[in-house]
Amino acid sequence: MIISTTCNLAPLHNLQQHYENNGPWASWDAYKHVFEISKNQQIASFDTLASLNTFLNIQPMAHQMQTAEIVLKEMHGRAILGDEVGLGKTIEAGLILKEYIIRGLVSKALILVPASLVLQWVKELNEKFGITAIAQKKSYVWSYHNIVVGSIETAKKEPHRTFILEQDYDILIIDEAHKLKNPRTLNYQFVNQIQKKYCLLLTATPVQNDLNELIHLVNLIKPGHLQHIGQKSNVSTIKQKLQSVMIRNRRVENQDNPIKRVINNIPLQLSTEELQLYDGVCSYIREYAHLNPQNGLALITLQREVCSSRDAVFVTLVNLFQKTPENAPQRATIWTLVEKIKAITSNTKAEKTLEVIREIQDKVIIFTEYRATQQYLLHYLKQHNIQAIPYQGGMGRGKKDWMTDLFRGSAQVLVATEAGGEGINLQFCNHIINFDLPWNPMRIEQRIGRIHRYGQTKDVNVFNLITNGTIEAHIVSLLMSKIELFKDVIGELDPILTATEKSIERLALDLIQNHAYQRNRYETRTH
Amino acid sequence: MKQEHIKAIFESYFVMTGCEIFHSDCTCIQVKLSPIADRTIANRPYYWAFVDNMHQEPEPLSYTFWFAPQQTDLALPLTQTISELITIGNDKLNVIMQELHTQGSYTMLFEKSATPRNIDSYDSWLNVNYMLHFQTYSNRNDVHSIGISLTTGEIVEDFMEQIAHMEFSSTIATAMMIKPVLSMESAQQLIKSHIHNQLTSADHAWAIRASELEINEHNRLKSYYMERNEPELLTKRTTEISKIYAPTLSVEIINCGIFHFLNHFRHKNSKALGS
Repeated sequence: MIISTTCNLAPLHNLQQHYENNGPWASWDAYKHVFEISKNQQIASFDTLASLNTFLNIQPMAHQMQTAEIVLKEMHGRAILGDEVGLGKTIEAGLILKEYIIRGLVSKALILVPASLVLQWVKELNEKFGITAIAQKKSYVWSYHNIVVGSIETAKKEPHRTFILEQDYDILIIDEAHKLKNPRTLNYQFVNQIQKKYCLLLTATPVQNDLNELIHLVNLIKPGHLQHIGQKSNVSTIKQKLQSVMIRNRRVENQDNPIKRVINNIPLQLSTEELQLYDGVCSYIREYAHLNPQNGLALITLQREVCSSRDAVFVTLVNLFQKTPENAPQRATIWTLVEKIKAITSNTKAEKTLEVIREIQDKVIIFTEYRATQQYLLHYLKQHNIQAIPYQGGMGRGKKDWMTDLFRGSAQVLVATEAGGEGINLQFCNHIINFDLPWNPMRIEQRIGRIHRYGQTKDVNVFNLITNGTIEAHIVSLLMSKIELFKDVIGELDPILTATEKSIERLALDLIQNHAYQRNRYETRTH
Repeated sequence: MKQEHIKAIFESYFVMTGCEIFHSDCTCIQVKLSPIADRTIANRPYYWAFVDNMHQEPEPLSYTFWFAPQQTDLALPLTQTISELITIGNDKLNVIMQELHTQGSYTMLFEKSATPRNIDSYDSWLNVNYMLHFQTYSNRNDVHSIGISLTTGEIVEDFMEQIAHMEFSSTIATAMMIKPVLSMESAQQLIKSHIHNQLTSADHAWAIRASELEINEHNRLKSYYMERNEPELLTKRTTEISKIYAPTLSVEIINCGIFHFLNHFRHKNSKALGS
């Protein structure tokens, strides 16, 4: 064993110089002061938190302190912080960062987060932890400042990329790290190139669709740790190995009086006109899908859009119509579908939504996957004298904050698209309507996590609108199976969809048998 | 380090550098920096390069430094200031501690006497305060303070603790003499071997464990990247792992000085030379 030892005794020789030159000498007070400061900076142990007795502008919760200690002591600074949404992963990362800064083990840190969260991170690190973090604005900031918060979208592009890859980071922190599940993406390859000592990956949803995603994530912090593991064969081995690189705190373990999550699945029957359109779309797909196999997913999107709103499907149909050559036989069929849209005068889901909102008489967030549906709902609710405001990914930070403030104030309803799901904290509201469902359970978890998080005082109510006999029922069953995978490896997940609706499952089975599509086509959809 | 210590460090620095303090209580300090303090702690080299090159009149920044949660209802004299929460690990705190350090590195002091004495020479000691750093995936450190008699070569531990209550002056009292027997060189040699003994006799279990962890990680990386034929990533990752785990031990001298006592310096737990 080699211990590299350095012993700088130069000050002793300097003392001699001062002695020979007869000064300059420090005063007794200054000399004593320096010694006292050093005494106060002593760190007694490798493994207990030195930040424990220092001043932080927050009171970290027990599970957050414990997480920081495990990362320091057992994971040696390379970890996935996989707490459920709303348990304060940011606080945990802040504690760990602070701990290493106090120990003098970290001075250069890179924190990559979604663009909408950059300012929030900077604010929290400064105000809660007294860490002087800077939001990246110009490219030189990467090299010039010690602790920089930036967005991964900017970071991976030139000239930023080159600046970052030239740095030698003491710690790399990545928020919403589930975006790094695919090693073929630019994001993943870029992050893998960054030189870092410690590394924290924050994600509430380390597994979304399959286990390989988890393996890739782990490879960023401990390459090869989960490598020789089969897909489904040895779940307990994976679980055990995961424990040395990942911490996952759950709500029920951490609160004396956990907030309950009440899931209401509302089955709906499409109106005759809507059903005609849906059937029309289905038969169009059956007839023409083989012409253009790569387009299968786009066609399934059509089905999903019909279940959302006529507005959503209209845009897609018109685009499809324009892309189809003029002499193609399907052109006429598409046009009859557009005609069918015109026959639809009401939206079953929107009517139900209005009913639910009126019953609740409180703040509600409606999530939809489609911009057109969002626009329609805003218009529809306004017609019925309900103040509703939009929220979507394309908005700037300032506008997002403004919308959040409006929602906190006078507006009763916030209509958000998927992109609005991450990063906003809306604990003052405790009702969510899933107007349509994404294919990925973790995205629903992210949606619900906006309100089911630290600071929520009431039970959280989730309403899932599911139209009978359509692709939505199939989505529900798909979501179920993905949740099972997640549960096997990572642990329990709060109920997202209640599992009691046997009828829906049966329906879904029927649907799979009736559809000409292979099951795996549903699963290959990526976000 | 407690917040009150940190606040005291800031305050003494502002006084030392001639800053204008507008307000100071237990929660915050409001200060307009002096140009020298601005150059040192405000971290804006571009601004100062501009001022220096263009021969402009500098406009130093005003700050409100908080050492406790910020109070918005407090009526403070300055309204246009930059607010900053200061806790341990803060950059400005580090810079200031570094500045104070350079002011308190080397000393030569003489014990003060209230009444005239009938002795004519001081008992002289060399004091060295140092920190031992032990580092692997994490770190710890110890502060040591030793004194060596320049008359007998005797070495005493916890030296600063034993003299903390005494009063010293930077000037020699009249009619007193300094008569060290030991040269500075030989005193230094004795201190070096003392520190060396301390290092070799310390418990190295932590370093053995660290080396094992490092080797395990290296082996895992090797088998993973060899299989994938990615030698560049292997090198990169191996370096990172060594940065985390490789055990290092370092000795850092905090400060050192020569102390002249009026009486024979009597200490607890004295250790004779060569024992």
